[in-house]
Amino acid sequence: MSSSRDKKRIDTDMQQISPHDVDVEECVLATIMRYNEVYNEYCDLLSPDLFYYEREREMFRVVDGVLKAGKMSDINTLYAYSQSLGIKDEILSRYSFVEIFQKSSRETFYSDVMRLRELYKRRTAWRVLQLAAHKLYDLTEDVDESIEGAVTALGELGTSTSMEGVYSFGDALNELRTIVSDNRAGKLNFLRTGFNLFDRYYLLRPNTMTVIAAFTSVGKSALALNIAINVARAGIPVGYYSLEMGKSELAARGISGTAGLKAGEILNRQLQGTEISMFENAAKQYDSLPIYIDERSTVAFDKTIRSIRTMRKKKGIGLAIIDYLQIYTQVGDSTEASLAYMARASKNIAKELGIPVILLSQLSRGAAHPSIKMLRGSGQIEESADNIVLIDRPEAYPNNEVQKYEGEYANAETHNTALFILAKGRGVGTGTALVGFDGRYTQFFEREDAEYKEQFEQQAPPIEARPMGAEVPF
Amino acid sequence: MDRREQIERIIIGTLLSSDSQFNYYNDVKCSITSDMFRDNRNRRLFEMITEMNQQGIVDTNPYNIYMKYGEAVTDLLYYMCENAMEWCYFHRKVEYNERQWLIYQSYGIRPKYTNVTFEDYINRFITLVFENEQQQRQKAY
Repeated sequence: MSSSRDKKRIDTDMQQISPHDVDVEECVLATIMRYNEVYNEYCDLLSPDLFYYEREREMFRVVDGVLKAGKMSDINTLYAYSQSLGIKDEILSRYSFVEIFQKSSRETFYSDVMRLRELYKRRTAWRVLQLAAHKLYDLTEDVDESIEGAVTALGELGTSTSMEGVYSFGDALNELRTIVSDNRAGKLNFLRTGFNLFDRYYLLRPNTMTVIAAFTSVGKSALALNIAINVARAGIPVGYYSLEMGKSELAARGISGTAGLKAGEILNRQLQGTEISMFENAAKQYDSLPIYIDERSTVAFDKTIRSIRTMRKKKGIGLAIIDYLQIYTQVGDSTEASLAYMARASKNIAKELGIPVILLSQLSRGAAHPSIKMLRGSGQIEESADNIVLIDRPEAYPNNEVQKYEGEYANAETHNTALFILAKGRGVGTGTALVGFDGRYTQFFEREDAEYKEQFEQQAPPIEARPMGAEVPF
Repeated sequence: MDRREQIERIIIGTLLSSDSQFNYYNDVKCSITSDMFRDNRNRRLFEMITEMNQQGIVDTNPYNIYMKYGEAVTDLLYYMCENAMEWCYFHRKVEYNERQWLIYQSYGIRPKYTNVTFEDYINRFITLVFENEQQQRQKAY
């Protein structure tokens, strides 16, 4: 930036100038203006406070407003929006947008934002300490109180840079009131998955992280895909992140049940006359389902998290599914710490965006039946998760000596069935449910047989039968 | 054709050959407005490209523009195709480099590529526009 402008600013500002970097500020602004998708990824790190001078701060407010409204940030939109906010022409003109626009740099964006945050922390810490210093010189002030105030302020600075996201209990109650009135009006506050265990316990509520865990090749991905399709059928967009399977493989698995063809056959075999029409009919039904698969977000977990944020903004996804946890590259030194970080990050993104997140996880082997203790790698997954659903399918392990379920379903048939165990449910309790499993098309389904009906009709109050023609007593 | 008109054509030509992979509109959206173009045809095309981008269509090639605006752009068809093929920034750059190679080789000098970017053209265009405006203001005084 021109030095003359800086000098003028210094004169009008305080005598002592705080640490700041106008070049980096302009670079960040320009990058947001030019590459709007970058803003969607990093918007949680940015706030107007990070900018030192009024002009940059106002400019950020304008760009932020335009992008949050879902518009494209071209010069006319920006200028019109700045006028509508009542910002004077001396601060923002069309030329100031043009002037700054030339400085964009996408490659250094993250480090630039981090530098702005660091400088902001420095400035705020300096201000807090100056205030404390003044108070300590004043003999009428209580010394312990002054020190305590300064320490608290510095501690807050260490944890976060803005007060956004801090609410009073009254705000929380207001939100609860809207939820209660929504429930009364019949609006669903959870996602219907088509599986009784999930729907009866309201597992897919906003802000929750659900872990689906099982041994290998039991059908974690199959269940996740079934849920994704059922949710998408209700018109709610779903983001699916799979590191194992490509998008064509996922699609093949998704439609195999409806088409009546195995996923492997669709992908690898030469289909014959009727099979092609079967495939086409199934494909037509699934054509417009809003399931989004991001193949770019591979390897690094942070990329997936950022992609969820972008998808929420761009496609409005109401459910994110991550398949699966242990396949991601390790973050940090130890596996435990890495898995703990990923689980925590998934929970945080669910809270931030207000959507349910499903995380698939492997179980370590060593027993015939799954239990919550076997969650591989870290106990932190268990702590971060709101709900943990385990899938038991003894059929998948022909080497097991006893082909039986545990507990109340010990006598149930294991062929073509699977047991869902809700091992942890925050605020909803625990439970189990027996479902059907079709091995040919790798699909779970609710059983319609007598055993199933008995299982659920027990909970409903029995309706009293009145004999035909009996008079109603007055 | 003076330099400003040439650069105008290069910018429009480049925008006409942009797609989802190379979205050149991102590079101009905050610095160029349609009233900066002298040629009326360029002005019309730039407005159409802006409108399409606002609607989320990033493949702003002549075919898509014709499919969207139909008969309203029939008079621009030849101009659009010519621009998209001959005046695209990348095409100009390759052409220029080839010419340089021939000259350098005839002198027996080792040839080298220029690394002119699309941004350089935009910067040059904006400078020309601003200079022109300044001159006009001075004349008015």
